[in-house]
Amino acid sequence: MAFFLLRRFATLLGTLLAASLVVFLVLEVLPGDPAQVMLGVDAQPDTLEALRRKLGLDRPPLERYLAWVVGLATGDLGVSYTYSVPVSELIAERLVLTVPLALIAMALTVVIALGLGLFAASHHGRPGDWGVMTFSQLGIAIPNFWFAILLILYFSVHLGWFSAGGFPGWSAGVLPALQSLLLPAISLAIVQAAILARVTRSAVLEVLREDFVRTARAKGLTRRQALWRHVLRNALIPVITIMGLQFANLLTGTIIIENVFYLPGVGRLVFQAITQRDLIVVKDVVVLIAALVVIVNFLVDVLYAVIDPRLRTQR
Amino acid sequence: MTLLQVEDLTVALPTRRGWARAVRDLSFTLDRGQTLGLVGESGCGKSMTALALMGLLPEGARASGRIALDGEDLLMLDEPEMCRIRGNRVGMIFQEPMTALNPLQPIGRQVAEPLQLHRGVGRAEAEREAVRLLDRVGLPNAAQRAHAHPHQLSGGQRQRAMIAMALACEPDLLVADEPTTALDVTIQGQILDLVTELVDERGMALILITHDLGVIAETVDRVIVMYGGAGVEEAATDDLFAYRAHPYSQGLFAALPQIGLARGTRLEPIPGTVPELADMPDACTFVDRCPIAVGACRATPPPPLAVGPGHRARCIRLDEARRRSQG
Repeated sequence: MAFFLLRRFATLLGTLLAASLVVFLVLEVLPGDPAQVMLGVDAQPDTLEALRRKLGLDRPPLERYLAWVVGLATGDLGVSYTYSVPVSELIAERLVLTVPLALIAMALTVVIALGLGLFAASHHGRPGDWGVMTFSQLGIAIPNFWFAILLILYFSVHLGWFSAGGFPGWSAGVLPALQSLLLPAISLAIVQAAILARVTRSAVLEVLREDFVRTARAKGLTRRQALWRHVLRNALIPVITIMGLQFANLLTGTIIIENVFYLPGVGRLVFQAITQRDLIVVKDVVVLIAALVVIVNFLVDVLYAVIDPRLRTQR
Repeated sequence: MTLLQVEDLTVALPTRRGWARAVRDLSFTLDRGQTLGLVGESGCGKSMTALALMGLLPEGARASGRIALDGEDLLMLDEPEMCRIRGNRVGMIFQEPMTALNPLQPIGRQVAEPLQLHRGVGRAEAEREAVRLLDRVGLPNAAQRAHAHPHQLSGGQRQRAMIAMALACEPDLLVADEPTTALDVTIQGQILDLVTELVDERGMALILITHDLGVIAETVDRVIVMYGGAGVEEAATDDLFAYRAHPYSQGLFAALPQIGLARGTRLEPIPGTVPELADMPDACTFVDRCPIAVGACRATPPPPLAVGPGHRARCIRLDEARRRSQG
């Protein structure tokens, strides 16, 4: 088990290094002048020169890369060009919105998907199954930003239950803050839940065909008892795999959804940084998102081992 | 007193070409302490019979006839009532001990489960009892091994755990479906010995399902030979090994390699192959492959005819079959 974790952790670090290298190469080394990109084609030569020096572009790439990675590791992410504040502060104040948003969305995804998937599987071939499959087909087909607009129209404009956008901040109280995150979280969750419900359904159906389910029934368990006690946990491995991958989609989804709802989160930060060509911020946020995805997948690997004892004993 | 009375059990399965009978008009009785073998090739209906006894037929299957356990017709019970019978009054052992156990649960928990379910005992007590059961079925170091997961046990150990599970609530009837087929030959004997020993010890009745005549010879008192869903011959094991009356039983035994047979002696295969269930002849199921079939064999299902005391065969050409086997 310890070896398993250690190996996974090494993979995690390697992946992060590789991600940072790709980001660095794309933004700073490939042909094209970052300073020119940031200032536009009309920039004065002396302003350009000043920015190049500020960005350290006069130093060799390897030295810049190492300095940046060391900075990332120690929390010194540089200073945003447009905001003139440390990027670490910028990201930290945005994370307090995006992390809860992603977690709520993920929780909604899991609850909806497991519920619907189990329901569909246990009503296999009957109307309940078809209903869930139709719903999930719709959910997959609908773009989340459009669904978000529908939600705003109905719940904010028509019913007036939620504000149409914006974030009051956690200082305004936990409840108002959560309230402003609910519609965005639902918009993010719906597509993911539709996909995950299908995965859950087919995973459960597959396990239901296993011999040990028949054994469980032969002991006198009802269908439902067998489903909860023996099928569900066995079906979780594929479900969790897809969940890990979906987390990446969810984070990229925040870039659009935070814009639809005017939420000052990391997604909106990276969107604005790109439009303002603030490469310093873009670079750091992209690595941060990559780090979140890689860490979540590390946690998924750990979960595998928790669920399945066979993985624990394998080396 | 009769424990189990099966009368005209028929199991029909939906196929693309309409209903097909996987078991047809099977009848037998079984007393406490008796052991019965169902023997035949794959697809002869022996496993379907077991699943019908457990009320675990595949979805869409229809069972008719009567399966009376202590006078109570199991086919008439609803699902919750059947759940109280399964694992409690009827225990079952399956063929493949690797896939028949939940890979994610320690075996102690799995053995304890029927006790919690039917005896209403708490988990801790059920697990203590599970250790005693695992010890009884000969799992070495049971207290520790109870925490092991199925993949940490050998095939034979897994089958022992399976037996402990089936016997946990001391059922009246044990149904063993090919319990040794997936095991090494050396382990097979140990497991069969264990099963017969436990059946004796607890006064249970045993239905052993197998395609292996050697297993039948060693384990059970009485045998039903099945072909195409029908029980074609029923006899005490010794009687059957002494004389086979039905042409199918004769063919089945003749196709078997035997120790002591001179090298170079050719085994006699039964001509043709087992037809698909939907193509199975309506009257005598064996008629298309039978060397002595006549027109009348296709007319009506043959009735069970007496061959000797407690020895019956469903064949209208028993005399001809006897002549052939002696000539």
